[in-house]
Parts: sequence; C-alpha cells; structure tokens
Amino acid sequence: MKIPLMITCKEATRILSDQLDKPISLGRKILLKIHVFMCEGCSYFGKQIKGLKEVFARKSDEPLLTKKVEILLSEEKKKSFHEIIMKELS
Amino acid sequence: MNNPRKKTSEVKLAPEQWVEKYGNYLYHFALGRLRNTTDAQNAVQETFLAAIKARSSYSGKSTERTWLIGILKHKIIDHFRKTYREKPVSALNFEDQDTDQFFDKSDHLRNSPQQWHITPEKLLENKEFWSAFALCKEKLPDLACAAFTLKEIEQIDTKEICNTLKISASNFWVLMHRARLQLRECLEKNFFGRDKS
Repeated sequence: MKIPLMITCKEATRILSDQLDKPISLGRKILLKIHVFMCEGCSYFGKQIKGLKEVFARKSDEPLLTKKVEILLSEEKKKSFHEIIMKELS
Repeated sequence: MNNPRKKTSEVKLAPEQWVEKYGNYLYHFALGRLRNTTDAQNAVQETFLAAIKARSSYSGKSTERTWLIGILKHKIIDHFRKTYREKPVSALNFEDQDTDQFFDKSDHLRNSPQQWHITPEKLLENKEFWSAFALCKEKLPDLACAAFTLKEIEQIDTKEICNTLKISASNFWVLMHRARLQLRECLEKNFFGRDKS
C-alpha cells in the first residue's frame, strides 16, 4: 500500500532543485521536509546544490578559474583581432 | 590629497590596447560559458566589434574591462539564441531529461551523497575545483548545459532563458534537475570525494 506522504529521492531532488529557482507550494515543501528528515543522502544533496549555486553566482562577472595555464589566444589570433579593431576604427 | 574626480568626458577608451590588455581575459571568460574554443573566440571577436560600434556610449562609470565583459555577456546570450533558434523544442530529448540513471532500484540516489568538508568560500579560488567543474560541465547534454550556464553562472532570468533556448518553463525545470544531478555526482567523484583517508 503506497503511503501518500512518502516521496522518492527522485522527486525529492527535483523539489530541492526547483526550490533554488522558484517558490514551491506548501504541499511540496511538506513532502520534501518529511523525506529529507529521513534521508541523509537527499539532505546532503540539498546543501550541496545550494552551496554550488552560491559559488557560481559569485563568478558571474569573472572568468572561471582553471588549472590550465594555457588558456591563451595564439599570437596569430591576437593579431587578427587587433587588425579587425583597427579596421573598424578607421 | 586625492585628485578631483575626472569628468566622464575625460575618460577615454583605448581600443588599440584592447587585445593586449584584455584579449586573454575575455577569451578565458567566454571559455567558461561556451562549449569550445571556436565559439569563445567568435564571441570575443564580436565583442570587440560591438564595442567599437558602441564606443560613444561608454560613460566611464565602469572600467573599460567591466564594460567589455558586459558586452561579451550579451554576445554569449546571443550565441545561445542563435544555436537554438532553428530548433524549437517540442519535447526534450531523452538525454536531456533522463534522470533515472542517477537512482538505483530502490529509488535512492545511486551514489549517495557524502558530506562535503569544504565551504563555498574556500571553493572560489580553488583551481582544482574549477578544473573538475570544467570537466564535469563538458559532459552535460547540450541543452541542460545551456540552461545551467545561463541560470547559475550568468544569472539570467528564467523567462529570458526559456525565450533564448526556445523551451517551455516545464522543460527548464527538468533540464536544471538533470544538470544538477549530473554535476553534483561528477564533482563528488572528481573533487569532493577524492583523497578520503
């Protein structure tokens, strides 16, 4: 017999995802709270996607860092851009 | 003693120096948002062109670099709009919406999240994290990646994202769910869960 208060992790993670970007209904909120109370995995999931969201938001106006130091335009490409700019200026 | 504030009319742009001063920075920025080097280079080129055309509108209120980044951000959205213009989505591909793969037979998350012992603050300047993120982002299906990038990184309004990608709001929530499930799992595998002793 299916107990209507129990949602799956699939449903819970969906609600956790949705609530980062929009208000959710009271009904969904309650179902989520019950699930998260009993499911450690989903509890971590919720915290983690929220934490990640905060990190990404802080990088909105910056390049994302990388270990690769070679994120460089080739000299050829730079020259090409420069020529385009100078041409457009004249 | 501070100099009196420069009048905005005195603040000039120096386009001859743009490539040298900002070329790599803009390219680096674009690479974080777009899929490949070609797209990123095109976005930078279009930014320079648009900036020249709009140079009379530069008020000096922001720095030259900030102003250029603002234009680049628009070019990035334009790129997505162009990519998805011809293909309005009537229903998502299986790949974009499938989330079954992340759950096991008893409907639990198959790789049950572990606790992450690091604060968001510490992640900001962590090169390993961002490298892992780049790797993980690359594995996302195209549309899910686009939705995620525009929402979480570029902070674009949901409605505008739907218009840009030609998707419904309901598509959008499915894509975000998929993106978050996959990214979180991948990041745990490649960064957070490593070196556990």
